[in-house]
Amino acid sequence: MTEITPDAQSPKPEDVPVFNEAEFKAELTALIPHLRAFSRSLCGNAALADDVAQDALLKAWNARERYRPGSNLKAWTFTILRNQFYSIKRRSWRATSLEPEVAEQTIVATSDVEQSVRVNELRRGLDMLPDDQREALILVGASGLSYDEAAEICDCAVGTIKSRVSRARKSLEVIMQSGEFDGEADNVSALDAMDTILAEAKSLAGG
Amino acid sequence: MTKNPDSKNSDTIKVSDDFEKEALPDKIGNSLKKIYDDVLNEPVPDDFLSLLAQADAKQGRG
Repeated sequence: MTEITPDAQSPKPEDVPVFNEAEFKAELTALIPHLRAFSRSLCGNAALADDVAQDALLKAWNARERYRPGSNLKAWTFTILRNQFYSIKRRSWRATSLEPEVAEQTIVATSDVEQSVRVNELRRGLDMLPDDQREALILVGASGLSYDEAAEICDCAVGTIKSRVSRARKSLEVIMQSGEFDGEADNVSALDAMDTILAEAKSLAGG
Repeated sequence: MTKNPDSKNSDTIKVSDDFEKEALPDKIGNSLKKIYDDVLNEPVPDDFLSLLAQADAKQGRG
């Protein structure tokens, strides 16, 4: 597993934080909503996302002795979750992702219809992105992590993350612009158009 | 006609068609956060909490 770089301070041996299991458990529990949110964005499917998140939670607990106290627990657990996502994907998924769910909860969460449609389109657009672009965009653009932290989690250079985020944003712009039907975004016509948009977005994204 | 609730700037009150002309990158950024935050704000399903409790209990028996 990739080690998370420690914070700037170099602790003296007597200052090294001792692992406290109760604290670890409390912090891990507090991260559950974040694990679910990151997982949902990666997987695009709520049920699968929760399976992956639960797997990651258990793995994180079982690997607690490998966690360096005081280091970034969020990044550490996100790394575990990301690895779990790819592991499951290699084992059981087709190359294309699962059909994203209709965003019922989006419509419940906001009474602004315009925003509901836009967010719904964005969900579909997100799911169209290559995994590495989607995860980079979510990590940096939604989960509040820095480019450095995202690079650690994705086990790549910071420049690579920046490039992926930039390509993801550009692809989404293409998708969103092509997807605006002046308010008539019924599911059938939207999905038909999405195939064309996907091809465009993929060529833009460069794979 | 509606003011964009996600607008960070109080002076960007959109009128009719201009609503959709809000800068697309901002629109995407805000929607992205909303997608993430929606899940963040969901109540945690019980099986997550019991997962940790069970894992912890098993350790105790070992």
